[in-house]
Amino acid sequence: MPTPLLRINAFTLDWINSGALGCNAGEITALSGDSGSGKSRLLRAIADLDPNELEMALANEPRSDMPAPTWRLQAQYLAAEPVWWTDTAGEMLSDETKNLAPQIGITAALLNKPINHLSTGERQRCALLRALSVNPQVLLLDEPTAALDKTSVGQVEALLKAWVAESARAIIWVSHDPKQRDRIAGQQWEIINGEVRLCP
Amino acid sequence: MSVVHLDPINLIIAASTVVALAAISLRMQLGLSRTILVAAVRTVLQLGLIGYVLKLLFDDLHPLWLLPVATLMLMAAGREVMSRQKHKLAGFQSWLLGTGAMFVSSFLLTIFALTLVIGVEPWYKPQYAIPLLGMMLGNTMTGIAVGMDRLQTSVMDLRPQIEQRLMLGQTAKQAIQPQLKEAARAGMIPMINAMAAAGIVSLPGMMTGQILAGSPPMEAVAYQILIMFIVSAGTGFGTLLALHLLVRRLFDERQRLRLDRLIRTHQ
Repeated sequence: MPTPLLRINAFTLDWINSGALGCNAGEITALSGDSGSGKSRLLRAIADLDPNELEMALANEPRSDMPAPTWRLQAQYLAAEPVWWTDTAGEMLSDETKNLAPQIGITAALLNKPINHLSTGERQRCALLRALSVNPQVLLLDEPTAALDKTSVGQVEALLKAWVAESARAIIWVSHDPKQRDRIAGQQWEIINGEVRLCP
Repeated sequence: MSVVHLDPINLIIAASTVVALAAISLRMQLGLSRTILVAAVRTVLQLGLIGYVLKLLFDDLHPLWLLPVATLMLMAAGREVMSRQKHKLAGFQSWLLGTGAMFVSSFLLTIFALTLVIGVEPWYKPQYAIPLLGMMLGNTMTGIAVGMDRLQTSVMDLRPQIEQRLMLGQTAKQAIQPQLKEAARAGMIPMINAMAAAGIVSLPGMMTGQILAGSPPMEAVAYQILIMFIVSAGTGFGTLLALHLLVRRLFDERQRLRLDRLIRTHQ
């Protein structure tokens, strides 16, 4: 078996226990669990935003050896409610991701519109593009399609599947929709009774 | 130059204006009258006390007495800073941070003014040291209190934005820069405005007092300029130092925003 791109040692995080976890390059991991089970808490801990004792390595380089800002760029967390402080979404995107934007229904005109004129779904997709702009190794997505209509959901799934496969990156994707999890995921984790379980 | 001597009766007549203000506030149900009266009584007691202490010190007490007096002034100012925070660092830290910054900035600048600027002999002569330190502490206290309160409130309100900046790879320093800038501004702008408006919009209190007490105007002006420079610098440095220390406590060694270190005070 190849070494996973992201390797997390067995851990206890508040109320969550887990054995060792790994995310392979080129693969999407779906993460599910009831509301309040700690999915976001786990993603935030991986991104090192909250105090945590987790030990992990990205491509065999331990997180503790990396400055926190460098780590967060490589393990990019996309919150369920992303925050903007610029006037337009476009000014925070790389040229490369701007080219990807039409694939998920984001036109150049939208990128130059004032942020607060965009719909929730448009902002969510722009935030995804912003997260891709920092060129991460691992994307930690917290319900990235929650505010999207069916067409956009399909477009986002297609874009991310292509991204993860072509660039040999990894994604951990929190999703409440079992059908979506089956469509996207190579492996599935579920948090049940405070334990992260690998679903068969 | 003759000075009109003030008797207690003069002060009682002056106090009647504040009492009238408190009465009207009570009538309008502003919930301020008690605060106004307590503040006024504190003015009388505290200034009366310091007047008495100064008189003792000026007369013949040993200069070492400066030490407890200065310490007491610092402690009181530290307590004031604490009482003005809506959110603050848990436990002793907050007091230590605010008071420490105030101590370093105001004591250093007071000693600087006494030794190198005014050149008092000996430099600790209470007639100069105590009033100067008092002006310094009073203004630095306000700057630090306003700056810290603003920063703490804005990180509580803007946590999602600061964390979003961190997620996008910004360092703690970069992520909090907008809030830090605003807090530093809030702490320092009153002093900057006071310098800019001095003499045109307002006659500074100290200079007015000196002139009323019979000093030649140009003498009073010279002292006022000196005081304003020193006090502004002291307020600014104190505020910046307190904010710098506060930012260090708001993030940990992995540059995580640690709002769990802040507690809400009862206000």
